[in-house]
Amino acid sequence: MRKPLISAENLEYCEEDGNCLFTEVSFSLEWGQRGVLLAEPHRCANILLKICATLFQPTNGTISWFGRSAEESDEKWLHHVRRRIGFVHRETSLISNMTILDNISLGIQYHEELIREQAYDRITEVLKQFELYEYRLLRPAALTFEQRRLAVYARELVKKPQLFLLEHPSLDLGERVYSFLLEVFKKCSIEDGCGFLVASMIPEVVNRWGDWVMVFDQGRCRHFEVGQFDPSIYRESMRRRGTTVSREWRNG
Amino acid sequence: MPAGNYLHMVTGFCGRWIIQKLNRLGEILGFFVVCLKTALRYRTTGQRLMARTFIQQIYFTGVQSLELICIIALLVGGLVVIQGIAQLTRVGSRDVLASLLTVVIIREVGPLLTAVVVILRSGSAIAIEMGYMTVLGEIESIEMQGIDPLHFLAIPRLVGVTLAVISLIVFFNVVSIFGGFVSAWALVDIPFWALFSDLAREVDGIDIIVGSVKALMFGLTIALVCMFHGFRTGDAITNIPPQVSRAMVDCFILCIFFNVLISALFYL
Repeated sequence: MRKPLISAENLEYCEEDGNCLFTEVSFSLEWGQRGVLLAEPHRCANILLKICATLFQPTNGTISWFGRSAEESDEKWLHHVRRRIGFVHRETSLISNMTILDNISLGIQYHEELIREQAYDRITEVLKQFELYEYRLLRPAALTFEQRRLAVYARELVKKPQLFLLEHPSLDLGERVYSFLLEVFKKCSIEDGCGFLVASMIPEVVNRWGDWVMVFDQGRCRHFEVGQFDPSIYRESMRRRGTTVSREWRNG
Repeated sequence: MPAGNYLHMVTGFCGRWIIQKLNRLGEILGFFVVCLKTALRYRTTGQRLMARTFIQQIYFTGVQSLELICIIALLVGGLVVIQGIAQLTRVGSRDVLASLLTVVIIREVGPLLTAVVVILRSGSAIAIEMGYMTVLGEIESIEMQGIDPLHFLAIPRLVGVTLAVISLIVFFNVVSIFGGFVSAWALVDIPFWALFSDLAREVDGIDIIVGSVKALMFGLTIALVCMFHGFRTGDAITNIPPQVSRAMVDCFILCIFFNVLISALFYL
């Protein structure tokens, strides 16, 4: 039996001033599964995703990727794991002094020792699929927000990752592009068994992305199966607490 | 306030300053060790990409500085000869002009001025670039490609800047001596060949070794210190100017310190 893509046990993250953003977070994401983290404040989800992406270390608790825990992993293995993770969070950016071509093919050029042209050939298909081909020689600053976001997704997809960590996946994307992206991810999930961990503060995301939901509530988390979770109750509880949760304008 | 209290304050301030500087020097040395380990760990990975970054760094630090170095070197060479002639004529020792050129330019001013130019031109650029990359999340993006940012960003710059500084110091010395020769010939009609043969007699192996050691130390110091401060920028764009300023000051102080240390070790 395949080991879970990622599993966490009693994760806790506290800042230097002792303020703990979350405690006792446990979950497991199997192959082909989709999990949603609903969080207010959004920072909880951002930090948790960075821990899942091996970029941050939790204050307490254990986390494993592909069956191997952080304690058993050295720096080299963590770099290897990162290649198997597609990570797009709200601050994810392209490298500003590289063209879109170089940004997307960076990982391939580095790890597979390909010459530039070979690497470019490998990503031409993806560039065309993401409608970025004609912008391939431009730097990120010359692109729209939506195109930049798409380029980030394209960069992560060419790695052929098995685990996707996405923070508010519809950010900066129009409806057509978002639907297209959902189709691409759906294909990944069905054909390659990729798992998705999606963080958002918009409860309707669950309808599109979730097999299970984890709701952060004042630093603690509660698990729901998708059928048990009612977005309107979450929205109401947020409203009572004085938080306005924006509505995803697309039809759930 | 009693005089003892003032003394206490001053010694306390000096002590804290020294400890702070030593701590930072320790951190920079630690950074160097981590860079070396990273270079060894990934020595067979990403060589094409690294080579490209390395060539770009050599071009930016070395080739693009040539014009500026050339102007400064010519002027400094001329200046040393003008002052040398003015002072040495008074004591009737104009024949030690070549010796003065060797001592002032090859041993001290050449390496130091080249280092200052590289600090101002390339060091600041490296610190700003690393700072921006850190603040904008580009470093994280590189990490998420399974690439060690130290390997991809730091190693080619470290090697590139060091080699560029070594080459620039040699270039500075040659151009500066040429400038000195031209000034000497134009001002007091000392023939080229006479000054050249004096110079060839004055420059010995130790000068070349000292020049090389200084060049190596300055190159490593500039690249390491600037990258170290750039990577420590944190997450606010307002942190970049103070970090760059710290990088410049640290580079300058360390280069002067190494210059004095190496000169003392070899010439005293």
